[in-house]
Amino acid sequence: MSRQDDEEIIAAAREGFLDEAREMLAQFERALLVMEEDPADAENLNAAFRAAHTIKGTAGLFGFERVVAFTHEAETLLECLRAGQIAVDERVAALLLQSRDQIEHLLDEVRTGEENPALAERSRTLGAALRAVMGAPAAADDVRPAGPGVHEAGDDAPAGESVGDGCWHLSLRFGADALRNGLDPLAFIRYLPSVGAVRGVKVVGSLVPTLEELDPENCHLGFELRVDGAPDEASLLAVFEFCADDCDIAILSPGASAADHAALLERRTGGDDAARAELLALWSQIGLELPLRRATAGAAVGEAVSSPDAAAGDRPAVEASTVPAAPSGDAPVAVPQIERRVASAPTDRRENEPERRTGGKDRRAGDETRFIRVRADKLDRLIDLIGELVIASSGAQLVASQEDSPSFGEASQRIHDLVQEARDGALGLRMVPIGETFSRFHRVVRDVCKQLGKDVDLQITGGDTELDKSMVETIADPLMHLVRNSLDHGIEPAEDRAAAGKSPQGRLALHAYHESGSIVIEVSDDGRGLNRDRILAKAVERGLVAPDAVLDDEQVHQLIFAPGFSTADAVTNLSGRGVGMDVVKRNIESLRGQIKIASQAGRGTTMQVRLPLTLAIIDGFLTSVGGVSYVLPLELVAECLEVPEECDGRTDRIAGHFDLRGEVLPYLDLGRFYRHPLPTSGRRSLVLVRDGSSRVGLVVDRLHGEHQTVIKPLGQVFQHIRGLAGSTILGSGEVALILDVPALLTRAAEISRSAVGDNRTGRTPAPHAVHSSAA
Amino acid sequence: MDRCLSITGEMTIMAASAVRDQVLAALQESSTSATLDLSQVEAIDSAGVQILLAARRTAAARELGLVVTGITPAIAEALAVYGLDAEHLSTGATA
Repeated sequence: MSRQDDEEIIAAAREGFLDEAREMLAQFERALLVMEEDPADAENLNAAFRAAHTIKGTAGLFGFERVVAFTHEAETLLECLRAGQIAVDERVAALLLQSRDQIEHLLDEVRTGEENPALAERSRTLGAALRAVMGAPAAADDVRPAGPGVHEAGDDAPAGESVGDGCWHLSLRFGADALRNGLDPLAFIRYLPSVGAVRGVKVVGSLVPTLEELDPENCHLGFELRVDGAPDEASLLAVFEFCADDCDIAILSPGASAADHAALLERRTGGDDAARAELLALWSQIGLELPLRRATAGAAVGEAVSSPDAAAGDRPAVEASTVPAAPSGDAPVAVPQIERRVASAPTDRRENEPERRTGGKDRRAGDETRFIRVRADKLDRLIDLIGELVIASSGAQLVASQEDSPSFGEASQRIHDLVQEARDGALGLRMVPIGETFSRFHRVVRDVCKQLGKDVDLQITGGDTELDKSMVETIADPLMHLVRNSLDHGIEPAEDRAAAGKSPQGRLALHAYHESGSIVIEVSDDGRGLNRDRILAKAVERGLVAPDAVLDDEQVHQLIFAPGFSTADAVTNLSGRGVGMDVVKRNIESLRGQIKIASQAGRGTTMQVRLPLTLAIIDGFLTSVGGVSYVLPLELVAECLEVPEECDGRTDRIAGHFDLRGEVLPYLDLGRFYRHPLPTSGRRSLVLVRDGSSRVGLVVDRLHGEHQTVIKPLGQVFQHIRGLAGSTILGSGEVALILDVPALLTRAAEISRSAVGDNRTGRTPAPHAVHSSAA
Repeated sequence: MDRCLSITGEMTIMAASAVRDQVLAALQESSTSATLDLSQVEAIDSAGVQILLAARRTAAARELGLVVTGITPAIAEALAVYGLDAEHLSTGATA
């Protein structure tokens, strides 16, 4: 392991932070969108709060002040929402969404290291807006009117309550780092009324040192609280859920015995008399009277904080009150009981409510057991290595067969199988579900719909379909274009929809699934569909196609991917400028993917994006043509045939059609296509490959069978060659070329179309000449 | 000598160190009592409340009077959550 200097470590940690922040923002956004739908969903509010809180906390660790300061504003508003001080309405939700964007921009600033004054200004205005939302009610809100059980804190509880009066007793001691970790005790106590009415709260003053000794960033706060009407202990613990690491919480149930109280007293004071007296006084002030307790004690130690003498003087009373009340239950017996309760609390909570494990410390602790963050370059290195291993194992197999040693062959086969498994495992590490990318579109759809005044329902299916992480990132932008395009041009305004007899609410669906080694992502809408005539007219107008050209639907649809093509009459700021669809296509093709369109006028449009599962290693099918090895992706190979007569008869023809069991299919003679010298002898074969619904026969010299193929990019010089997707190294050390089947398909169709006339006359249907052989 | 300190800006974790130093200086300078005017405080959090509690304790230890005034609604709200008010934070020593 090489030694990293501090800067590198910090930079790496910062990357981790930015990554995590991005996830938190996504969680924040999801929560906000649900909030709009269901403002009362408390768990959801908590999720939003936790997300904002985590971002703030971690940003604080790194000293990203601008992020901290702004996120704090948003968090404060969420806190008010949680506490029920203000209600979620459209304005609040919109502001929070804007805040989310602002946080994202601020994080971008962290990433780039550039400070943008306009952004700082925006932080200020947005922060002010957030405060304004809170401010209105807060100002008139010294005594908060909201919610059940809001208390006039500071007032002592009604007299007469004693042990077993139906109140829960909470004893909180916040850890020294609580404030530094961004956990403000205020927030938690403010939130308590959502669980039960706070009957009395006291700060344990003696815990706070004098100013001289005070480290103002350390937390020395401890509280004694009485809460009425909480349903159970778990609900109380839940309030303090994500400060559990920074807060010592003891809870006594309404029916807790005097022994329990005595034990808590012991636990909190550790036998220190002054502290014991102070605590008893505080308890008395919030209405917790221990049995047999002398009434004077409370008054005597009212100011225990600053008058230890009084406390000392009260000592006998304390002794008198606790010991007789619990003769058998002095500290040694009772303490374990409370200890156990406290210790077991977090565990119980996790068991009962696993879905809560998504926030703050808890979330992190949970994630650590299920996920490990790994640097992407380490994974890439591993996959590279596995790639080399695949090649080396092919080499070993080759040697084994040359040596003609059965035992070596067996051993190398075993290695080969294991390498294959390792390969799948390694590639699997890079696979992530696409759902996360999809869920971003909730926000996009919401925003665009608001802007356009449309009502569209987004349906997502197949979110757990996995694809390569690097692809997820590249595919997000093109998908965004497609979604916006559908919303803007596809789905009609409600009036038009009603007039066309459709439901006024539009439907946009994102769907993903695996199909023959590819991942297919579909963006479909039930809008007006592509207008074939208009596209064609525009294309002719722009000189993209000849006026007399005869194009099928698919070809017409592909025209919209031409650079600068737009049929929109009105350019909106969303789309319609003709920028985008060509970029979409280019991006998808850069991933060795394709995009297809199916559209029906008046019924809707489906854009289908088909991507390879991985960019690194594929199962290939090895062939050779003119002495050069070519690899086809195995999953695209449908069958292998003897070359039909009609393909071999015409030696001058690169492509044409042949007859497969009565079906006419195009073929491409690879030897001629790549201008290899024709083999002098030997039978050639035809490999039938399919891509989606279309199939094409490729004529090759020899078939070599399956081959694990590590894809290496082609050098610059070769990149313009049509029909090649990359190269690979064979076990023998030889270089093989990987064929780009979709491109070949297109090319074969082009060539055979241009020769369609004479092909028809020259073709002799001869089913008897076709022989299927095992694929 | 009486000392009146008007705290401006935030009494939050972000400003806690500076505020502590100011308050401590004010208490050290005063011989009989000190007044903390909070009317210019824009925001307060637990760190701020903690400073006020520490100030009371310090004043009590030094047998100084401490009067906390200018409690804004926002501060009152924060204090209320903790069951505190201006009187709790002031000491009863020679005013």
